[in-house]
Amino acid sequence: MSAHDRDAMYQRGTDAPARGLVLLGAALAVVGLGLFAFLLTGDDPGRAWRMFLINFLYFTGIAMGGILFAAIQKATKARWAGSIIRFAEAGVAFLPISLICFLVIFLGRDHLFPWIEHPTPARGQWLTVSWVFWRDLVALLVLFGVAAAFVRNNLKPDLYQLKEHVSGWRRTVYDRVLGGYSGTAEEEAAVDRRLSILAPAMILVYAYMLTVIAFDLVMSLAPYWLSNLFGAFFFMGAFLTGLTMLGVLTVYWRGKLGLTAIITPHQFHDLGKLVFGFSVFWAYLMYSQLLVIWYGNLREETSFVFFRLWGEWQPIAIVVGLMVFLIPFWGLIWVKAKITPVTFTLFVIISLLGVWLERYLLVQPSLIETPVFGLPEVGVSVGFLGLFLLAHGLFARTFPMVSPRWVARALETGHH
Amino acid sequence: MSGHPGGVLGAFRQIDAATDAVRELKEMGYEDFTVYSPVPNHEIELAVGHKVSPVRMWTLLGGLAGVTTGFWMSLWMSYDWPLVVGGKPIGSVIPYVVIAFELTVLFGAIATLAGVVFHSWRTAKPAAFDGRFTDDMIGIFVPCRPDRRNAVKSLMESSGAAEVRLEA
Repeated sequence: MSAHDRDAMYQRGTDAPARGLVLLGAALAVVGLGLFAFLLTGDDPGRAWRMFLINFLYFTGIAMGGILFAAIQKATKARWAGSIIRFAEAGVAFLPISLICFLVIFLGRDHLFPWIEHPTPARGQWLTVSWVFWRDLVALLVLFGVAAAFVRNNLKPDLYQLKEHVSGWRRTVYDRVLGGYSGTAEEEAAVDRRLSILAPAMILVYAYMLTVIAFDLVMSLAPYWLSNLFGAFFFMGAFLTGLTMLGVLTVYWRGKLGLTAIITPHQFHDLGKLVFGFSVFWAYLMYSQLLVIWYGNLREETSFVFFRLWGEWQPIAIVVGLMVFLIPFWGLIWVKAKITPVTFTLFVIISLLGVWLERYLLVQPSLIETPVFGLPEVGVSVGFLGLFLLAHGLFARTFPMVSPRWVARALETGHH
Repeated sequence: MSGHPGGVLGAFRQIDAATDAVRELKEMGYEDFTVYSPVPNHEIELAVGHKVSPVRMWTLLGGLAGVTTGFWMSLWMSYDWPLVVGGKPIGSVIPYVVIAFELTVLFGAIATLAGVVFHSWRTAKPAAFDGRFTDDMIGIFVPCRPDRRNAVKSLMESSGAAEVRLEA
């Protein structure tokens, strides 16, 4: 590879063309959230609120799942994903939006949580408005705080290297993120030390805090139903979406930034294996809950599951099983399918949409009798997709999407 | 030591030197050489460029046989000697998934082992060896005719072998 190519790649990696992404995201967000606001004034605001909750859970899960992937890479000292890790870390830009969405959900609580109108004595003080929302707010703040600190420390050495090449508002942001970082060997070591604590902390906090969120914002919608494993089911599903979204973004940025030299079939192969593995794990956790509920045969436990698996919700349950487990399983079991970008993208998108439908199936049947699907459902979701793309685009406009240290090292050694 | 077709045995201290030697050997058209490494290493693996292992097909077929056997066995036994347990249906698929899953793992593992043994036996070729290749050195053995040996020897030496031996 010539020096010219190297400079070009360096330039594209640090100055990603993301204007289109920002504009598209903003347009979708305005349309979708405009529709949401319009629906709130209509005669069935609950329908809009339910979709708001579902998409809050889904996109927060995607953003956090990506950051969890980055934390796992750090904690295990893995290097194979070095060229794509920033696409996952970009989820950090969605976290402030997610926090605002949580506060918005507080406004719509009466349309969502049945235990507000009909208090559930069996759950004691656990399900009261102030305790639930304070607890969840603190959980989200801790989770997002650790995630932001993790990504910030990961960015520092890169930003230090690049700060002379950027100007204006980008320079201001870089200086703010860098704080007093001055690039000495001691400071680089200090960043590494901090990351070696933040990465495992991030993994633990992810599991604990998303369990609280899953219990409070999903399980409490059917307040008499309990499953200890539900939290794990929820956050592992979120991790799966983090991986699949990373897959989509990798294919997108690889073409957009011309990174075919450093994002090779190896990366697709490994990412494909992870998606395959966690599709199986999703089915495993799903089945682990089903088995004990089926054996125990207690009415308050079985109703939740059987309401979803039989009757009017059954078609959705079948589609979820196909999209999240069976299709990705038989699709991604082949090496060729994993390393060919077209088939990889196809199966990864099927899984991504499948988990969205799974979140729909977790929330909706607790609150309404029969499935509804129409413009409001699609519109609010498109609005959230817009917010996610907007956040991702803004991150890409500001920060290097490929670490300059990484490009330099990968091109020097020729191993990636 | 005999039993192998004579050739050249090189011992390498550096991974880069060994991968260079492998690449150059392949360029010269040698295909049936043997590489020893004390630890698994991606660079060497990449340089050697083996075809995808056929053992994975054994695993897949073993797993499919296992899942079929698991469901068939548990359902057949239930209906062959029907007992109502815990008020559940005689043939209950939900708990039998556990049996099917375990047999998938068992049959898959046994088939994999059988595949490894079978293909190792089929493709095994006698080659010279040195105990240091399990310790701190990477070895390459190239079986070749006596008149080619000096060319191979100088190739290995120029790519950085620590020691090159002619094996009768």
